[in-house]
Amino acid sequence: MNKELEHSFVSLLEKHQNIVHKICRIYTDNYDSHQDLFQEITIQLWKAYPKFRGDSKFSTWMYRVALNTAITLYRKSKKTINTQKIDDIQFKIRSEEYDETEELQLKMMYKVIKQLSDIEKALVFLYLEDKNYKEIAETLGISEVNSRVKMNRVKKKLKTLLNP
Amino acid sequence: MKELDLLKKDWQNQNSDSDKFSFNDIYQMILKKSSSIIKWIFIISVIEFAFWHLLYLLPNNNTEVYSELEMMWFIYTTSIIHYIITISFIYYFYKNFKSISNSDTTKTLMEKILKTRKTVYNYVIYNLAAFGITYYSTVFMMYQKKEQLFEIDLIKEQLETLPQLKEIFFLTQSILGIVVIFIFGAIYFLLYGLMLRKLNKNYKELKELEG
Repeated sequence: MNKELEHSFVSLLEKHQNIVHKICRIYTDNYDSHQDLFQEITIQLWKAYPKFRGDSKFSTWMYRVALNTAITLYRKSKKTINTQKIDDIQFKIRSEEYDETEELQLKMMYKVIKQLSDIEKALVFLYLEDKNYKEIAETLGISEVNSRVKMNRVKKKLKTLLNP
Repeated sequence: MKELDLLKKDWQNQNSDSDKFSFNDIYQMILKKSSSIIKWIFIISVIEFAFWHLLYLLPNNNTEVYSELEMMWFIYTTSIIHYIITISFIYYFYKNFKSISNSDTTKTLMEKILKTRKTVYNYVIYNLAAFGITYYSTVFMMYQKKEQLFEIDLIKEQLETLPQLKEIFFLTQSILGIVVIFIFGAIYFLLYGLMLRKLNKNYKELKELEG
């Protein structure tokens, strides 16, 4: 693969890396696993990049490859050691006005999301990324109706987990 | 759900610079090797394909016995059929493997991986069955020619050192066949089950939605 292709890919990924970090945040719970998954997603994106035809947005294409890697292709590295918990290092309140109740609610939400299945996490991730049901359906390969049904079930599950 | 809406607001404002990788960091990553399940599926499948053929490389003196009992036609015929079937399996495995694309939808990707593994799964089932059929056919043919069999030098030598063997020769052979099939089958199914456990679980969850 030529240098030009490498350069264009790395530049695009550098620009859109936040998407990959967010996926890693949902699917991993420590710093080393986060780095490990980020690397595997990068490799998978790079492998698929020559086939990326540009008829969809780079970011839209990234969602699919990155989620596929997290859900199906990624094998947790044996050398990954549980070090710092990701919640502690990456959880930040961005609102300018500090609200203790909100912070607590957010912390709880992050905690219960970690208890969801891989597929449920994918739905929550796409929902948080403000994707509509059509886009969720197209990413996961299920029907639009089913993605709506599944998301409603996930919301119910989250409620139950928050208020056991 | 207000907690989820709150999270959505927070989520979309997330743009942590502390996590960010530089151009060079990302460039270094694309030079590294993948450790994805696809790579392992390929390695394990190739080992499984090769394994059954490596068994034939083990030293054995059976050819002498088969030749003496005029059973070589059976060995040649079954070997030719076996190689034709094996080549077909390898072709389908390669075709399915090449069709796996990480840019497919999650469900299609899972289906393609499972289809690829299914080819290897069927190959192992075929091998266990083919081994069982040819093994017991051979034992049966030997039994029919047992007088001739016990006169072959190689068998005679073994029987001289262990005369009791004559009485239980066919029983030992029959039990040995079952043990071999059981051990290989158990190892394989354990390996297959463990490797695809996560994938099967996620696929089932997506499929259930359609049910």
